[in-house]
Amino acid sequence: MQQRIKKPKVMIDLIKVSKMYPPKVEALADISITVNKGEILFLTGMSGAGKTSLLRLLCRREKPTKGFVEVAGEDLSKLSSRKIQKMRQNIGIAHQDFKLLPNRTVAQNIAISMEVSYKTPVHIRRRTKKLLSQLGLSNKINTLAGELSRGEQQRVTIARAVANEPELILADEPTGNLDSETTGLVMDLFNECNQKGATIVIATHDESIYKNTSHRIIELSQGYMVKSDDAVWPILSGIDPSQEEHPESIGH
Amino acid sequence: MYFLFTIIKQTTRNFLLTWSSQIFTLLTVGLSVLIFSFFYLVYTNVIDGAQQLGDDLRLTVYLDEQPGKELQEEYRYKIKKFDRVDKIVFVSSKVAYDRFAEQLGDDKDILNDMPQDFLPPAIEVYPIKTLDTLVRIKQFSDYLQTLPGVLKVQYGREWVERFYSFIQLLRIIVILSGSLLILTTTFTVAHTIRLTILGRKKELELLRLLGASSTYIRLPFFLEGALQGLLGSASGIGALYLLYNWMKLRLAGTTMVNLFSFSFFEPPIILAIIILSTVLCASGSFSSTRKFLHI
Repeated sequence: MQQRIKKPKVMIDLIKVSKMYPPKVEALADISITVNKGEILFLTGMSGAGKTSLLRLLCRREKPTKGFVEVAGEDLSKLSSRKIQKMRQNIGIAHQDFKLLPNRTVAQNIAISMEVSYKTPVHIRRRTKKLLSQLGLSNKINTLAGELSRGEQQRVTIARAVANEPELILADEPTGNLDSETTGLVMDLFNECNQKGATIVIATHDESIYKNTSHRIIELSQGYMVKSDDAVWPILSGIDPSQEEHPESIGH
Repeated sequence: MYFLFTIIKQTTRNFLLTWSSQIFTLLTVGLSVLIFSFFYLVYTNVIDGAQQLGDDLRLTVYLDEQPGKELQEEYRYKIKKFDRVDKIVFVSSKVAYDRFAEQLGDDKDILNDMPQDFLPPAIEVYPIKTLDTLVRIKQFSDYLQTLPGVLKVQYGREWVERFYSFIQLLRIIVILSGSLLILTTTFTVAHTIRLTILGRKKELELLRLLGASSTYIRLPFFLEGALQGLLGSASGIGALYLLYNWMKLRLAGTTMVNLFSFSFFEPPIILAIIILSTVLCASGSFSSTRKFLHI
């Protein structure tokens, strides 16, 4: 009897997406990507390849010039501002430029993502402490973000991105300022989130974090998708993900 | 509950972020409320005073001859037709003579050679004791003058006219200070909120990216404006109360104080001023967030 193939639910669906910036800069051209729930995807490529532009489209910071962007089954171009707000509470973003508030403490910077969804103060305190401990920043909890080194600021940004336990995490160059040891801590944190069900898109040119990975890698170059290492992903290969123990083991 | 906690936390942050502007705003709102409520207090007290003085206010209508019962009724009917009056008293020549003699006291002998009906009979008209009566008294007097058999109408014309002008002036001052209150509270609060928005520009941008709701972002600014109105107006009223007590102490025993009985605002008026200021400041804040806060 033929085994019934279950399609994993799709978290991100980009269909022929292009993004042009004035006057005529083509940041993304004809990109089609599908990312399933619980997947980790690496977006690689040189600086200016279009990685950040793609992440910006996924959180509706920008609209595509052409094509469709769907996140969790919702066409982002058709979402009301109220729905966008709700959706963003479920997306954790680690920005390349950190976007920390320099005159606030580390704890306050992390707490802000949980405050917007009205988490209890006790929960916020516990979660902040836990994340800082995982990222080796326990001693910096009351330090002003502006007084931290770039590497520390980067880790605070990552902590803030995952603090609200979002369904989708978008990380833009999350290890750009980190040494190999702290890179390991960050990747451990991402893996932990992924095991809890989060879909993660990591834009990076740090080869060390995806060199031996079992996850899908997509390479961009000058806005074009030049390589998609996705032949084994269930939606294309027909593997039933429910047979898998956890998403990390899916793939190579 | 956590919603409220978070919103209050944000509002406190806003206050602390631009504390110098906040103090300036509180002072401005407080001073505007003080100026407005000071003139309003003077106005209400003067009106009350006018009503006290109105107790002695009457129009004396001198007649050419003593009216009979029927004519008296006709006079009564015509007077009441024009305006509401407290009472109408007919004074015969004899009663007028007796009153005059009584006023003269020991010097009443000078009337010995005079006939007892040398004074004309009169009608004393006591208007209802309201400010409107004072305002309309000239019209009333002119009307009475047109009645048949009337020789002359007398009342404290000069005093009433001066008093009326004073009341008009006070009204204008109250309106002007009220307008000042509206303008200063609305614009100062709007300006302070704008400063807070600019000071938190980066944070607000981040909040948008984190999916903060419109309520989460806007409500603290709205509360900030309302709080400025509440605290500012409360301090303005408090300052007026201190000023009122100080003036009462300083002016105790003077003719002015003996003539009028000054009183402070009743609690409902205090509440109305505070609520009005709070609403004005909140609306100033609302207009500022609508203009400068794009979510």
